[in-house]
Amino acid sequence: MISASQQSRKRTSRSVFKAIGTMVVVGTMMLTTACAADTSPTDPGADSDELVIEGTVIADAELWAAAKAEGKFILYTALSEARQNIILEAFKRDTGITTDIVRLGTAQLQERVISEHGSGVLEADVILTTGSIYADEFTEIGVYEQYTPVGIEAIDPGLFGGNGSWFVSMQSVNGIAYNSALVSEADAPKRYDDLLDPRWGGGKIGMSDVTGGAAWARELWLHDEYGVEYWESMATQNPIIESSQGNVTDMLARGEIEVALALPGNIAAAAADGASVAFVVPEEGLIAYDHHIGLSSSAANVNAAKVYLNWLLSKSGQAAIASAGDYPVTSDGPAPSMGEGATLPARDSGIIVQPDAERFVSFQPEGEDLWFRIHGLK
Amino acid sequence: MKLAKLARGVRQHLGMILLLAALTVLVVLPAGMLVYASFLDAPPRPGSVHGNFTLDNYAAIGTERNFRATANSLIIGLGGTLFALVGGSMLAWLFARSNVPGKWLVGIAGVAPMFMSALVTSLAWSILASPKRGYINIFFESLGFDFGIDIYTLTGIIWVMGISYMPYVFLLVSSSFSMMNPELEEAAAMSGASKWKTFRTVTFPLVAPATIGASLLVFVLVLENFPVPQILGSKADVATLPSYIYSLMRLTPAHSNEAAAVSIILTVLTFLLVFLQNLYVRKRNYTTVSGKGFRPKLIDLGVWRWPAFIAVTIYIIVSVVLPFLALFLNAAIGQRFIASISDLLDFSALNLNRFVDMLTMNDVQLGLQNSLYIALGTALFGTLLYFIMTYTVQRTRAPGRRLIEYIGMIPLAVPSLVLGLGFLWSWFLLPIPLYGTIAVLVLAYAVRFMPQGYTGISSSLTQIHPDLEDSAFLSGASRARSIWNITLPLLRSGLVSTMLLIAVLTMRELSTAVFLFSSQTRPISIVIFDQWENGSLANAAAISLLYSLLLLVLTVISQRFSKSRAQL
Repeated sequence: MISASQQSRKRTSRSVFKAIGTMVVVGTMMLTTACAADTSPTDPGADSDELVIEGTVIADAELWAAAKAEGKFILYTALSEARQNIILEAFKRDTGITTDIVRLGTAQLQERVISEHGSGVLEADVILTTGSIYADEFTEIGVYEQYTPVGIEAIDPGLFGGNGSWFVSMQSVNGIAYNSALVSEADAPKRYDDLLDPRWGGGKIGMSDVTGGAAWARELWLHDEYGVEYWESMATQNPIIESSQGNVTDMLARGEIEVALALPGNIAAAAADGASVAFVVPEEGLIAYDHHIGLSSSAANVNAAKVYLNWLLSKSGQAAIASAGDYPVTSDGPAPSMGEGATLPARDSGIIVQPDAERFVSFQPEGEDLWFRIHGLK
Repeated sequence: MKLAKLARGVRQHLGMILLLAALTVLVVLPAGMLVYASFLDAPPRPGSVHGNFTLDNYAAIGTERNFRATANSLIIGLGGTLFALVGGSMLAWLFARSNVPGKWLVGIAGVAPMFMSALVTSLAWSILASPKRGYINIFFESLGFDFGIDIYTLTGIIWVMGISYMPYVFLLVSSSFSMMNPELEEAAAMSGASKWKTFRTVTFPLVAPATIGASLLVFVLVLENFPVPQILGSKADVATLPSYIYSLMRLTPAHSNEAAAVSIILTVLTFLLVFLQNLYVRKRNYTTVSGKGFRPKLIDLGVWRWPAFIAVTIYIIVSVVLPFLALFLNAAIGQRFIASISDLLDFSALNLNRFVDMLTMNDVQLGLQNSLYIALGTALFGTLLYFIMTYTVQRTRAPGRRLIEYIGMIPLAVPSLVLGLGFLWSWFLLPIPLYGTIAVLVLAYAVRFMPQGYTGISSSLTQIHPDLEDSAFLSGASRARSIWNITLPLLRSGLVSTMLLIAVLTMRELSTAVFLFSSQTRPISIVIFDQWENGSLANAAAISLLYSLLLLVLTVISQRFSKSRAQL
C-alpha cells in the first residue's frame, strides 16, 4: 500500500515536471528566437551635434544627445497599427530611435490613459487620439504637457490647441472603395449618394459603425450635407456594418461586399497585399478628420518624445504621413500615396471637406445614438 | 481572557483568514468595483471624482436591444451547450469506456479544438463559410450545388460555439468515466439489467455531477463569449450580451457604467445557476474512488466499432482539419479575392512568405513569449490556489468555507472584458505596483479561469474518499504529509489536467487582457486581434496558425496525460 502510493507519487512528480519542463523549453526557445532577431538600431545622426534632416533642424545638440541616450519612446495611439507602423519605420530610419506602441480603439485608449494617469503609472511618452474632445480632456486632467514643437508655424494655428498642449499632426480621409473583380470602374459609385441606388441594396455595401473619429466624421458630414434622410435611406439598403474600418477592407477584399465607405490608406495597403480593390475620390469630396497628438506629462523618455513630435512636422515626417495614405497638415506637405506612384488629390485642390468642428464634439453622443437606432442596432 | 481566545481563534483559522483575504483582493474587489460602478454616473477611476449615485445605468437593461441580445444569448447558450454536451459526452464515452479502434484519434478529437481559440475558430469559419466567397460555398459551387451556407447566422454561431467548447465537456466527463467503479455496472448487469438500463440507472447517475458541472460551465462560457458573436454576429446583427456590452464601451464617451450594470444582471443569473447546481450535487454522494484499485471495463461496440471510428474521423476533419486548411490557404495564397475553385487549388500560387514575415516580426515573437510566460505563471499559481480553495471547501470544517465556493464562481459570471476593467480600476487602488507587468495578467487570468480550475479539481476531489487521507492522519502523519502522500498522488491526473487546461485557456484568452496589457506584455491573442481589426485577415490567419501549433504542443502533452490516465 505504502510503496504503491510512493510509486504513484514519483510518477506524478515526474509527469508534472515533464509537463513544466516542456513548457519551459518551448518558452526558452521562443525567447532565444526573439533575442536572436533583435537588431541594433542604426545611428545616422551620430556624427553631427544637432539633428538635421533634409535641411531642417529637428533637434538642437542638447536635445538630440539626450534623445539618443534614451534610444526609444512609448507611444499610445488610436491610429490603425499598419499606418502607424509606416510612420514609425520612417522615424526610425531618420533617427535610429525605436518605439514601443500600445494601439487601442479611441474609447478604450481614453479609459486606459485616464486610469493610468490617475494612479500615476501612465507609461506613455506621446499620446495620439482622434477627436479634440478627447485631447481637451487630456489637457484638462493634466495628461498632456505644454510643448511647442519645432516647425509649428508651418501649420494652421487652429490645429494647435489645448493651450499649446496638443496639435493636429495629420488628417485621415474617408471615401468610397470597390472590389474591382466584382465591379467595373465604369459601374463603381462616383458619389456618396450613388450608394443609395437600389443596385447596391441587400448587403452589397459595407461600412464601419459610427464609433471612432473616422466614421463619426463621415456620418456627421453626410448627415449635415444630405439630412438625416441619408442615414435612413442607407439603412434601407441593409449594409453590412462592421466594428472596425479594417474589417470592412477585409470583407471588400474577399468579395463578401462589393462597395464600401472606406479609408484610402487601408485600401492602398490591401491592394499592395494582393487584393483587387480600388479607391474612388467621391465628387462631393474626401471627408477628413483630425488626429491629435501631445507630449505626456509623465514621459520618461521626454527627449526622444520631443524629437518625434518635432520630426512629425518636418518635411520628412509629413512625407512619412503621406506615404501611409494620410494627409500631412503642413501647407507644403505632399499628397497621400495610394501605391505604385498614384496619389490622392493635393490638399489645395479643395477636395477635402470636413464637418463642423463644434458639431463634431457637441452632436456626437446624440448623433451616435440616433445612427444606431436608424440602423436597428439599438 | 477574551484576547487570548481571539488570538487562539486567529491562529486556528489563520490559513482561512489568509485565503479569504487573498480572494477578497483578487475576486471580490474587482467585482465589487463593477457593482459600485453600475450605480455611478461616471467610471470609478483612480484620482478622479467618482461621480454620483444613479439608477440610470439599469435603464440600459430595459431597452429593446438588450432584450434581443439577452434572447440571442440564451438561444446560443442553450444550442451551443447542447451541441457541446452531446458531442463531448459521446466522444468521452467512446474514449474512456468503449473498444472503438484508434483510441488515440478519439482522444485527439476530444481535445483538438482546444488549440484553436474561439477567436481563431471564428476567423477560420468566416473564411470557410461566409455566404458569398466562403471556401465551402466555392467548393460546392464548382460541383454544381448552391447550398449558400452562411456562418453569419444564429445557427452558425451555435455551431462554432459547440465546436469550441466541446473539449471542456470531453475533459470533465471522460475523467469521470475513467474513474468509475465498474463493479456497480457489473452488479446491475448481473441482476439482469439491460445495457441501456445499466447506463440509465448506474452509469449516467455516476457521471451526472461531471456532466451537469460541464453543462453549466459551457453554458456560462458560451453566454459570455465575446469573439464569436463579435466576428460572426455583427454582419447579421446577431448581438449577444457581451457584444452589447462591448458596443456600450465603444460609444463616445464609453458607457462603462451601463456595461457594468448589464454585466451585474448576467452575474445574478449565473449565481442562480450555480446555486441550483450546488443544491443538486449536495443531495447525492458521488464518491467513486475508494481504497480499491480498479480499471473500468470496456464496452464492446460490436458492429458499431467502425462506424463510430468513421464518425470520429469526419468530426476531426470538420472541426480541425478544415479550419486549419482555411487559415493556411488564406495566409499562403497571394491574392485576396478567390473567384473560383481553381484559385483555391492553384498550388503554384502558394508561398510561405507571410509565415516567415510574421515569425520574424518583433511583435509576434514578443507576443508568443509573453503568452508562454503568462500561461506558465497562471497554470502554476492558479492550480495551487484552486487546490487550496477546493481542499478547504471539501475537507475542512473551517467556518466560511461555503463562501469560498461562491467567491470562486464569481468570475464565471463576469464577462472577461468587464472583469479586465474591474481589475484595472481595483489594481490602481492597491499599493502593490503590479500594473503593467506580466504578474498582473497572471493574476487576472488566474481569477478569470478560477471557476474552470475550481470545478476541475473539485470534481476529482469529490471522487476521492476522505477516509484514505484520514487513515494516514490517524496513523500519525501530519495533515500536510497526508495530503502530500495520499491525496495529491490520487489527484495527480486532476491536477495535471487542470494545470494544462489553465495553460491552454490562458494562451487562448483575449478579452481579459484588453485593459491590462502594456507595450511589453502584449500577449499573442491581442496581436492577432489587432491584425484582424486592422483588416489583415491573412496576417491574422498566419499568426493564428503559428499560435495554434504552439497550443497543439500543449494539447498533445495534455492528451498524453489523458492517455496515461486511462491506462492507470
